[in-house]
Amino acid sequence: MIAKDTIRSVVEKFGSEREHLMAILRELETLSERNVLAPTVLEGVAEEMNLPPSALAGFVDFYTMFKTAPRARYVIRVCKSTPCHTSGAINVLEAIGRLLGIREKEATADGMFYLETCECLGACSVAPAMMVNYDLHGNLTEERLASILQFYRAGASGDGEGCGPETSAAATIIHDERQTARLLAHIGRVDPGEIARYREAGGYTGLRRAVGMSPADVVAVVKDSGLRGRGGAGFPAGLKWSFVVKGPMQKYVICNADEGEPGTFKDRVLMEGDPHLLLEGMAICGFATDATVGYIYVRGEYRRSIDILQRAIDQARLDGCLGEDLFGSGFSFDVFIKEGGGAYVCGEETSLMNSMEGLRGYPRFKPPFPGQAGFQGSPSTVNNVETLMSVPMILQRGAEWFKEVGTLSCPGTKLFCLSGVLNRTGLVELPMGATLREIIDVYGRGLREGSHFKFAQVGGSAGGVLCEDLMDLPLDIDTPMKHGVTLGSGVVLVCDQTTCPVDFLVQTMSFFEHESCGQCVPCRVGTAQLHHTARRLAQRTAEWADVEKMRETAALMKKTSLCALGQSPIMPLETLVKNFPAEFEAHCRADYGCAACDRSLGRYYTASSH
Amino acid sequence: MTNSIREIPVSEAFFIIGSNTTENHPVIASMIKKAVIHGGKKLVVADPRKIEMARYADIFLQILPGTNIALLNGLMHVILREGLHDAAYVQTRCEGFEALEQTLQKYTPEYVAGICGLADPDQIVAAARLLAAAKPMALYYCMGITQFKSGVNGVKSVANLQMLLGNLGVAGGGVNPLRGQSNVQGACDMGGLPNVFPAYQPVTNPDARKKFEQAWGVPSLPETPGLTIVESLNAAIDGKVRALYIMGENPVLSDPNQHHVIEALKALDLLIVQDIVLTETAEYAHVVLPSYSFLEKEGTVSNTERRVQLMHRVVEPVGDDREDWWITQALANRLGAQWDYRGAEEIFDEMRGVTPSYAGMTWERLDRELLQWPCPTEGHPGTQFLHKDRFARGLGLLTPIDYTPPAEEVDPEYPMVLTTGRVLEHFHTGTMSRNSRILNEIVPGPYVEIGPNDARNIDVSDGEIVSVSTRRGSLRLKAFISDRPKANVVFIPFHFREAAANVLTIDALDPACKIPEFKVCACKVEKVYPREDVR
Amino acid sequence: MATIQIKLNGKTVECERGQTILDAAAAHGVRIPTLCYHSQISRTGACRVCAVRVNKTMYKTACTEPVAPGMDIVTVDPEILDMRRGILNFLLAEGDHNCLYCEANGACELQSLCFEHGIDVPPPSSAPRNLRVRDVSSSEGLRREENRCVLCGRCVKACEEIQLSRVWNFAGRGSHTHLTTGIRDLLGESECVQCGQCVQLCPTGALSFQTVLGRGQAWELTSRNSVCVYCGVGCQINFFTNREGQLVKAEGSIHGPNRGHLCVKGRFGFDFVQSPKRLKTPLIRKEGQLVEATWDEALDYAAGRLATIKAEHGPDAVMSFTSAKCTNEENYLLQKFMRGVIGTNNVDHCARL
Repeated sequence: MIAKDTIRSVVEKFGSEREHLMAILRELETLSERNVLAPTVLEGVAEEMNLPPSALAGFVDFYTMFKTAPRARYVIRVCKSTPCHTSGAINVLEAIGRLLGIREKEATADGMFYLETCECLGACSVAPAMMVNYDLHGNLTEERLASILQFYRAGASGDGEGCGPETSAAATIIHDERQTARLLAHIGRVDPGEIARYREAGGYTGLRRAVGMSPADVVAVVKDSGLRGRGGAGFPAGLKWSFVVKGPMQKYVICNADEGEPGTFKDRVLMEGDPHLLLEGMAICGFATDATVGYIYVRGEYRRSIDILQRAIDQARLDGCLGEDLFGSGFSFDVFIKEGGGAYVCGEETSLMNSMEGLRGYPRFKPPFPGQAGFQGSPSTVNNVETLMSVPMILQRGAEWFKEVGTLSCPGTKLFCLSGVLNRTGLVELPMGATLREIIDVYGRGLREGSHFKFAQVGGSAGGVLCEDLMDLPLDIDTPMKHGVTLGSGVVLVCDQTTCPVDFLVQTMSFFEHESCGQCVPCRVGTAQLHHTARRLAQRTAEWADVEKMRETAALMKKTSLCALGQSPIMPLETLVKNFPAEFEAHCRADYGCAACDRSLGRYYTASSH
Repeated sequence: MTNSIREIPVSEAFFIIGSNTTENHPVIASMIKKAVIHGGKKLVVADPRKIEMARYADIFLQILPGTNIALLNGLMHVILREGLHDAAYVQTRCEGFEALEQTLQKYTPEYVAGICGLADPDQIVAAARLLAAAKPMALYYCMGITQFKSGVNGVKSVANLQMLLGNLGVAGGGVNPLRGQSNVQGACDMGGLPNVFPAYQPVTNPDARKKFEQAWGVPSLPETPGLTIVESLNAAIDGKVRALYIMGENPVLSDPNQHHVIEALKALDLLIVQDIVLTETAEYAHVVLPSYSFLEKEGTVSNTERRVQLMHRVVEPVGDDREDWWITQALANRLGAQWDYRGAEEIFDEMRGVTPSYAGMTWERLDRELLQWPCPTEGHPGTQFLHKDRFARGLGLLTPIDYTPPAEEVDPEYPMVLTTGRVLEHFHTGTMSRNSRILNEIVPGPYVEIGPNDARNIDVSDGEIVSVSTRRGSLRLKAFISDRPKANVVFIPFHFREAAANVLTIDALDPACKIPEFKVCACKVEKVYPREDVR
Repeated sequence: MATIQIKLNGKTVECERGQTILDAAAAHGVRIPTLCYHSQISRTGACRVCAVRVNKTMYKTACTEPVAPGMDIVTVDPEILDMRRGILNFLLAEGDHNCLYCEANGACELQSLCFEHGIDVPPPSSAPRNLRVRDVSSSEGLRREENRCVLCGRCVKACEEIQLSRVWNFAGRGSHTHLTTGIRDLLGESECVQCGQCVQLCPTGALSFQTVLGRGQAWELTSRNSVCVYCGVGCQINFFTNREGQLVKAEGSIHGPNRGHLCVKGRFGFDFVQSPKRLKTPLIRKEGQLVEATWDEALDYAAGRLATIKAEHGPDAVMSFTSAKCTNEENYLLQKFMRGVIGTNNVDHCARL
């Protein structure tokens, strides 16, 4: 039971404005020691923050990390997104079942563990993965699980400090001299916990140079560099900055660190491996757009990223790299962290801003664009972590240097997140335009023994699958589009002959239904219909007409959905159907046997994911 | 209201004093809430109860009942002390500043906080600064200003404040009394008052009398002002008033000191009650005349912002009822008049001929235009807000007003303060709302609202029966424990005949306008213990 | 306002910069169907019914997209109609929309849209329906049947932007989205003050008034406008009566000072008009009892007594209370009666009470 006084002091600690709601609830959930936000607590918060109870009910119900019924001291979240699914997430659930005697949505009798499934945790290179409270663990086998559970029985806190070593930034990047390590240059070499090391390595010189220029000149340099957004849409960063409304009003820089695209873990590695580079990039963006405040919206699952960033922010403030009058330029800039609560759609920039304001993460219609009216109605520049971290080096070394690698329309490097049946998985930085063949053969060291390449999902669940025929396609922002696929966030999930495209589709559509915010009709209803029909296909109870119907539905969603989420299912659907028509046709026959589908449709996945 | 409802979005700040707006004028309250919650406008609320509006207020001043004037003086004291008033406005548009300034001198925040029961005098300073900084600032008040024996002074005080701040005669500002009845504005405009003809033309003015004598074709009209309601009831007991003709009112429930009212009604030789149902008052009548309800009528009503609107017949009349004007005409003709009105519109046309502020309105215009009086000619667009450029009397008069305590202060025998009012779901004497199923289901019966500490002191829990007594009477009702009342203050809604709050209220009157002091008297609250054998 | 030129269904027309496509089209007599849009609340853009084609390749919701110079807008063609049908079919698949037993039958915007777009038998739903809350009795005045809800959000915004009680919000997510009134999620236990604004704005039968069911269907009701009799705000109300002449419901009129809004009294406070307690004939007290009388008896008696008292005690022995509930005309006439016929200024009313 959390006392009213506790609620009051937590609200006082963070502030009673609605924008602090997420942080307040997270703290109260932790204090509950049962990972619960009890109705009485929510009522208390509503009263203390002068919010209507419906606002609390709606908020908590939107963010999947929160629950209003008691769970347990430790919540085990097993990832079931495609990279983990194809690596045996079901085995993990079964193993936990054997070790603890619980199934999904159940708690152990001693109140120690509660089991649930979740979408991508950003540990895809060490799939299958799970999180225990805020500790991330990968490469899960039954033996490892046993020792991990023992670790918590012995009293580990689960506050993010107990993450498995295989998930660290340094362990996640692929150490290979052949790559073009720009963003990854410091990781594993420069201690992310000490600002002094970062400055010794040349850190904050980009910012120092920027504040000696005019904001317009900084924008011009970034424009010149041709830097395009690395979050998925590929919008030119300098152009976006130049669209920010001018005037005396408060403006914001927002770093979108709500990395949730299944198969993506680059932003986590960057934040944990080189946090100051991000702060520096944000400060430069702030200077260029006349913003004095920056926010990093980090997904709630990334507790360790948040802790590392917070430490970096504290140090930067002490060191004069954040705060008033930076480097004697008169420019002031500070950065604050906002947390997510478990909602993929909050990676959409307008949903993200609603979430930052303490609202349900519904996307807003555009226009107005964030540069006109963003967070709290003020002009805001929203960029992805990778994009912002590319900025200091551009200021340091110049636009021409940046353009030395990459393609003409997409200069610079791109981070690729390698997962699946490769000999080597992890994060690798290559010039824009690298091919799948190079990525797999050189950096992934080819497929594991016994695996034969079937397809690679590129760009995440919102991307398409590539087969042998597109192995030599230059992967930049524009070229894949012409072939019905997308580079997206740089996911390269490699699947072999054991992966069934229908099973893969079910998992993908399950993801979209689960993550649809439900605001607009086509996405809300369409994702449910797609998921349901895909499952019927997996059950071999559908007909080819259903496949056609799915394509129509996805096409209607593409045309009419409010945000990119509802426009996304068409790409995985179309590329899977196009590449594997025979398997889809086979699944239309009741007597067709498919072990992969049968296994997925087993006990753990029969219940709806909600 | 000096200003208009549609100006709410224009106001930069609101000062709500003596108005439980969300319950008594919910539609206006929602508009103000929207301006405050979504528009970021400022709000100061002063009330003895922590009413809903207090939740949205930047500053909430929980004052003791009957101490408005002290508070207003305190605010003005701070405003003058800090030079926050609109000096140019005061100089060009007002008079009487020096006398006011003199009077305000002693109303320091500390002194005022003591009178008002405020723990922190700085709250008054902060409120004064906030109200002075926001322009235009609109002041809204209701019966929490007027229903005191110092009611008229309360009104003058709010006007003082708004003149000092230069908020009169500007869009989005104003002194805005929220009228509590659908046509109380119109009833006043029409001369339903003892001292004035329609449009407030004094009966004591010979020219006005002459005008009406000619218009009505009567040789002479009485020149001395008549009696107010409460005075007339006293006069009835004294035998000076023998006949009372009541159109659509229910004084047994609505007037203070119920025992006294009933005594007066019983003393009459003739009581004519014209109403839609057999009210508590009609039960004492000699003749009861059944009239149309508003949904059976055609006619005009004037709202709180002086807007005149047409009503249309929605349902067919029941039984053998008649329109009120028809009944009045039938009585008049039996007493020698020769009236021949065939419809309400004919009366309206005669009325506007003698009522300058309505002269430009016709039913036809009212059906398609938004018209607020004054509207002197048919080409006039009506008046959105009053006192633009000049006041009716020329210069605005700042009046020095001193705080005077309520008629009845607490003492050891009656140690608590009783205040009365309405609730959202019911209206006045309940004749309408208590005969509406859903409203009656939501709030089925009477209660007394009492603070948790006060309840603890008399060992009462929520829903238990208490007796509330004053020097005039006693009631038994359910206790409703709530954090809304200020400590030592209880609140009773007056809609319920089975526990009529006006059994308790005092009939002390304002000397000028004779308004009763409903909002404050001394009382005691005791727990009623069930009899042993009942257990 | 600067004027710009756009192409609307092939014709070049002028419109105001900053206008939405919806408003610009309406100004030129082109109606674009809408569902989540309502003029009294802020724009939502969620139902997507008003999607139009812009510059040949893009689809934009007309209610949210501002016009831009040279914009080429097509509001209707076979493909756009197909798109709208697709969205309507989504909604029909999602909810339980059976007009046979729905209060909104005949006044339902979803029904009208389906009819307008020639929706035949909707295709069978490919996803199971998620049954939502049926909360039809916890509130005295409002009924909630969420299986008829299209999640347009008008109720949420009505409460958030007009009434400001902020009772409604969405809960759940994706296909499990539903309405909530708070942690316990019962309307009757929420802070709802039953102003009924959400019902007035609801496009379907998801929210309705308790007073409506069983008392006449939408097309049988007659609406007439009048002014509320409660407080002094003077809200204009459209009163709906059924074929039997019974009052069924009240809706705020957009033309009044209330701008469409009402409070709980204006919504539900009119039973007294048709209450059996209404007086139907005059009454005269005879031997201590009030007994029925004719108008002539009652008026003769009253007038006779008034004349006697005036004659014996003077006009100032007569007093009259006029009424803040009666019309201007009636108040005017009563004071004229007292001053001109009786000859006294003894006229007052409850202005102070």
